[in-house]
Amino acid sequence: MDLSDEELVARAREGDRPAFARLVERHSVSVYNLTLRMVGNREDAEEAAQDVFVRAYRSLDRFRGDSRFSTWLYRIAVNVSLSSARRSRRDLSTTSLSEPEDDEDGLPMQLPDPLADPAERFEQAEFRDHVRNMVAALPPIYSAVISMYHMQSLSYDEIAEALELPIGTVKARLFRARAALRKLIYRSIEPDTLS
Amino acid sequence: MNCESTQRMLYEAVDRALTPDERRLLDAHLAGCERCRSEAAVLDALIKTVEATPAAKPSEAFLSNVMAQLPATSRSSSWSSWFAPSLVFPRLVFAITLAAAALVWLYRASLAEIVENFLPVQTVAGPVTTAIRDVQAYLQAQAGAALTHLPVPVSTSVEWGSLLLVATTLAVGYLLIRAAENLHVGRSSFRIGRRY
Repeated sequence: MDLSDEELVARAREGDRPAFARLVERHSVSVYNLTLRMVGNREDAEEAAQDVFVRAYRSLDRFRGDSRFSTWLYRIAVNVSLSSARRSRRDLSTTSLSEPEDDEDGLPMQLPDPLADPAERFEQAEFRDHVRNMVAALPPIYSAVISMYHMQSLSYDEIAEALELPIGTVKARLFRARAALRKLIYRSIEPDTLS
Repeated sequence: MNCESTQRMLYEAVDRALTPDERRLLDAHLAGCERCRSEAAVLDALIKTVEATPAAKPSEAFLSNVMAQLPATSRSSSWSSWFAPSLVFPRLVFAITLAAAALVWLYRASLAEIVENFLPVQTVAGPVTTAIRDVQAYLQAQAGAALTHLPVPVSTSVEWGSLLLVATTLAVGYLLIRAAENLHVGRSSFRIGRRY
């Protein structure tokens, strides 16, 4: 019998550790992928993801079921990842839920002239890997919204709940995150490899 | 429509947030602008690439590592957590101090009245009653001597003095136990000062 998250949470609250283990199994991949995109390396991401579940277990009594359990986990994951990123490789100014200051209004820069047909580059497997790595190189809040929306298919409502932000702000962040990713990718390519 | 507003619309198009009229404007511009058409192709490929990212899997030991880090119980207030090794000592100290404070308060309130009113043995004459009275007298003397060392003026009402003692004990005991709990639940307790 496959119990729902809510049923497993209720059992875990009563001290049923196998029930909590089932929750970990069910959500470990999505939580790990979110921490991986935000933290940027596997070792720290795995430690952060473990921390998410330990914190969740300690806080089970505070989970009131107003949101989905997965959304509640994402909320913890975002905070743990921001903290982890702050301690490791990220600049302090970019590891918060506030947006990084941009030198433009969020729109992408104009395409470099040497790129006659840049979309063709996405046909190359190596370049696609490069793009995926660039998601993790974004400021963590941008990594988070791109990961949740495009990789984990969360709705605006769910992302807003996880980040504790208004939906309008989430949409704006996502818009800027895509533009920042687009900009980052172009900046990461050497001009002489573009032609 | 110029190229700048077209680019903004391209990003909104990813969310299918364009009205039919905006969509027609965008398509018309793209048909005549190679640069924006190229940008649209890049954005489309970029989003498809990100969405096609295969999910990474955590290590095989992930589940066992998480389970090994879990505290004995998810409920910090459950009775079993009182007996977690790192919590026994501060809670024991707290309990003993509280009991001592309560005893002092009782004795100062008037032990004799309490005993005479509530102990049935009091009604029976004999060596047991005498022994109890002796013990009471001794304890009262000791309690009285101990209270003279409290940082409370002698003229202060006995009840207020002992209540102050109980309140202080509660506050110190609470802080002690909270500190021990934070140490008990793991090294990451102080990383983020927020509750979920």
